[in-house]
Amino acid sequence: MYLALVAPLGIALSVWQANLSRDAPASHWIVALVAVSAVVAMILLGRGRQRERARDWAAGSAKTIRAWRALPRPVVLSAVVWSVLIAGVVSWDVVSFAVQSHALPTLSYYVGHVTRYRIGRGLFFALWLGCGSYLVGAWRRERAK
Amino acid sequence: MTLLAIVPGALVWAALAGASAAWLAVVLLASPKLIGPRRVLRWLLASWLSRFMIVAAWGAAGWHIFCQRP
Repeated sequence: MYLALVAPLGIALSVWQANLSRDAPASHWIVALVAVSAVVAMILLGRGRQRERARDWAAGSAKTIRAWRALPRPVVLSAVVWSVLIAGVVSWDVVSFAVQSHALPTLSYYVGHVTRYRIGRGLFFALWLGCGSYLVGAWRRERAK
Repeated sequence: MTLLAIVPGALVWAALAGASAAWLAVVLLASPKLIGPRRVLRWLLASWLSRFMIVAAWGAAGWHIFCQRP
């Protein structure tokens, strides 16, 4: 039901966005309204359904990191590899942005090569919407009956 | 469509993409004991604070891609 209502809206917004440029005021309004709507939906959907309180989450995460020696080796290995990959992508993007050289393109330079075309812009916008709806609605606790 | 030049930075990006793809393949195919992307996301979306930060980053990325990039 929820998907049947939201999917056509997402497709319509993606088609609309595909025909706009980055400078178009409508493009700015769509992105801003979608982002604000996502935060509102996150609050409405999340009332009483968030799995942990922020303080408990932070304390639990810190406790797990402090006790890393007691964790199974595959878990430690995974955490190290994920951290290295994410830090590598973020830091290399920051370095490339700071240097501002054609020899060091940023990640958004490559994204720009896709979004400069209508089809690429529309598909990327649909992907962005899909990611947003996942981040807003996924991994919620079931409501108590 | 324009061709992308092979510059030093592109090689680093290719290496990062290759390493990410290889690691993802290992996680998804090799061992269920390794932490996969679903568990990372479940951890990040477990609390209000972390979920809000992720959604805010998503919104900022959208603004950058669709309102600032060509």
